[in-house]
Amino acid sequence: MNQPAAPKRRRVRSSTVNLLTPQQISRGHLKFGWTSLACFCLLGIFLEALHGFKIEWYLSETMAARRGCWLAAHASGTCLSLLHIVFAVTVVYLADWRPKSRLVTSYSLSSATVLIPAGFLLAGCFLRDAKPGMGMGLVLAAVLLLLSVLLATATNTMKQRATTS
Amino acid sequence: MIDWELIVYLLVAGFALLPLLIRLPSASLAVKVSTVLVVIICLGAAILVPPRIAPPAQVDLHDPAVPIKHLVPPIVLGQGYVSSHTCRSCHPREHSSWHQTYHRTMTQLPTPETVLAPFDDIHLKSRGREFYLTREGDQFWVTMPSPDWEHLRQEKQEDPLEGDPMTTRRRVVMMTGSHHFQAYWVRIDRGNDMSQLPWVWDIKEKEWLPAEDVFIRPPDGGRRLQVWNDNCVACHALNGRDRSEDQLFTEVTELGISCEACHGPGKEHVEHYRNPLARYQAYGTESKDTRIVNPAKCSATTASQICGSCHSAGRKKYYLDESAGHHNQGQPYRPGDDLEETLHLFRFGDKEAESLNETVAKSAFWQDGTLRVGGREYLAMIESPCYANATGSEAEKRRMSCLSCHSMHHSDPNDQLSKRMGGNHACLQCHQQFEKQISAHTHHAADSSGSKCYNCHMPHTSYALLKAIRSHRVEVPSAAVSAAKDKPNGCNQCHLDKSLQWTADYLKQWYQIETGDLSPEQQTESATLTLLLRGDAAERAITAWTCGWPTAQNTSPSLGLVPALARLLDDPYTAVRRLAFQSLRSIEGFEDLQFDFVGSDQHRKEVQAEVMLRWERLRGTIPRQSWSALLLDKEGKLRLDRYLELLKLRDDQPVEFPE
Repeated sequence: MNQPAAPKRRRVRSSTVNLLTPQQISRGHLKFGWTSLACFCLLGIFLEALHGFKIEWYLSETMAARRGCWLAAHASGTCLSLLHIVFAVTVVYLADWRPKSRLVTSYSLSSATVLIPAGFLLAGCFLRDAKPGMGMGLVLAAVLLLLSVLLATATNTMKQRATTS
Repeated sequence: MIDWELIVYLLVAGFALLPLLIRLPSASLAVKVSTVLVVIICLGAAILVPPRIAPPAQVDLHDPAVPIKHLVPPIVLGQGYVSSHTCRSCHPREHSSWHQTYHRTMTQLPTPETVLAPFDDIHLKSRGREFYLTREGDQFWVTMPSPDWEHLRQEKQEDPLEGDPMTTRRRVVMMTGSHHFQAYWVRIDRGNDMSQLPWVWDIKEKEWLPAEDVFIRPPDGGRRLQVWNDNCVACHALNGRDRSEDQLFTEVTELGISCEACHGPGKEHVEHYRNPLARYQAYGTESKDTRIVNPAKCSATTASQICGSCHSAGRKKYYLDESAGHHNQGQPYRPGDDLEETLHLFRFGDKEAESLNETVAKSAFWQDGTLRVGGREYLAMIESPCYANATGSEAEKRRMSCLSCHSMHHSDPNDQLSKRMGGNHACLQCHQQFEKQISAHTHHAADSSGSKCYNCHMPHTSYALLKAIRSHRVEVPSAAVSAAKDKPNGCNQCHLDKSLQWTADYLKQWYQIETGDLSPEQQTESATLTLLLRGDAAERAITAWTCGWPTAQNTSPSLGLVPALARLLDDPYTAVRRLAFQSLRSIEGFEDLQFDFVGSDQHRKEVQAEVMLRWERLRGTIPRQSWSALLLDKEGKLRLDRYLELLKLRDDQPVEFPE
């Protein structure tokens, strides 16, 4: 007797598997947000320590650009960390957000959160004639990414409001 | 070569964008870890990147692409110096107040902001040599007779003005001065020596002045080639010293006069206080930090010597490294040291100074031993009774110091005078007994210039910066000294039409000061007029300036001195001519006078004639009681015979004031 044919293993596209639920995304952003907030606060303490110990390569007159860049890295990183937490709270309320778009927006926010502070940090590390280095290019690109995140979130927030009402 | 910077950027961008690109949520942790790693690597790289290597010694002096930092003495820390940038992080307020001073801007690199003179197609001609100044973008260039050729001639003890030098283009690489004048320096092909452009920019008058003519020096002085690295570096830069290779290369810790010039090398202090605990510990204690010198907390002697290390003249007694030669190792003096351990000060009558340059040594002092050249005020100040007479166990507390009146951090940058020290308060700090009854002491109205302590006790009897400046030897006016030593005094510097006898009478009547022996002429003729006509070049210059001093003009009729000033328009010393002209222009009726102090004989004679013509029309306004002293006869006409007699007595011994 023929054994019934085993059901065919259905190949599933990884993209389908990885379409996370709003709750999963929210949890991820909460983790990312709080962790990066801690990291950027540590960076702030590190910068304060450079002041405290009067570190020449940070405080000398020719290093004004480095101080500015690293301060911007600390400030932007902290703000973006807070944005992650806000995004985590927001995303669970936006049930109508298309899963694929939501995921792309989520990753974009994470990328921007890495790229903006990292761009500032690197620009401060690799100074060019006492001016910020090429890292500012990363910042510019990441700002566009961040802008897309904000626009996407804002758009979906408006759509959601319309549906609910 | 691997471009690590680019690799780092790519890594960061890759790690950050990877999850987004492949939409792989599980990569989140990797992103976080990678980011932290990259940040740590970047910070480590920033810490470990070595400082820039010193510029090459051989550079093309004509190439505009050569960065200016490769053309000037390199900034090299060492010998315990850390530079003012380091001081700023802990002492921002002091750094800021110092930053506003002209000490900081004494030596600067040329930028459109720091160059005060116009360089836009300017043609200048001096002593048969032509200079063409141009600005190309942010660079300043001079087409000029080859300075290399001129220096070579001078080294061979040949006259640089003779012969036909090749014309060359040189870039202005440095400037000195930013307050009264600005001098410009170009590189020469000898080590990294810089030669001065023989023109200075007068900041106030906004005009180019020929440096070889505008300063007091003997009329036949010839070309004057200045090398920044030989003289100026000692005081116009911090810790200037030479590095010996096949040629000498000057290095400095900082251009301009910065923190450590007065506070001494700061490395030990900085390293100690880098620790925050050490700083907090220091806040609670009053103990003196022995790792750095604070002139404000030093004794009057030590504090004054710190200023005196530059504001004096002398010869270094020894070098830090005797075997290294004359210039190596820089100044042996460090703030806080006893200045005279390292510097043999040139005082009045110093034989060694006279053996080095008799003209300069003799020019520097009045015959009573008072310094008469500016910039060396320490040598005058230490001769003041307020300094020299402070003896005994409490001497240091009572002794006057430079900081009694001046401050680097709490003052007007113009004269570095502390608040309220521009008036009588400076003297009243100690001489309080005169505060409430100043008129009883001065015998002048309390609010008049005659009741200003400075005007009598620190008269304008020094010369620097193309003008008379106040003597820093605080003294009592004396007609006897003026008579014996031909030295102007405070009384006659205001009362231009009065004789020494007049001064002597009042000094005896008011202060019981002995009159001394006065000649018949000194008893009757204006002391100012006499010095204008028969003084030496310095006396003529100082007195000519006095005739244009507004305080004197408000006190006495300077119109009566116009014939003497007109004589000085043809003085052998070009600097005296210029001062006479400036004073003439300050007198009513002569404001529009035009005169080129380095112009031809014919030009000078023409201007003299014009001045006398105008004076003839105006002389009727001179008060009759002054006529006799001003050598005017009973009809108010000039006693030309007496004028000529005095001119014949003119002291023509050479005078030179190095500036």
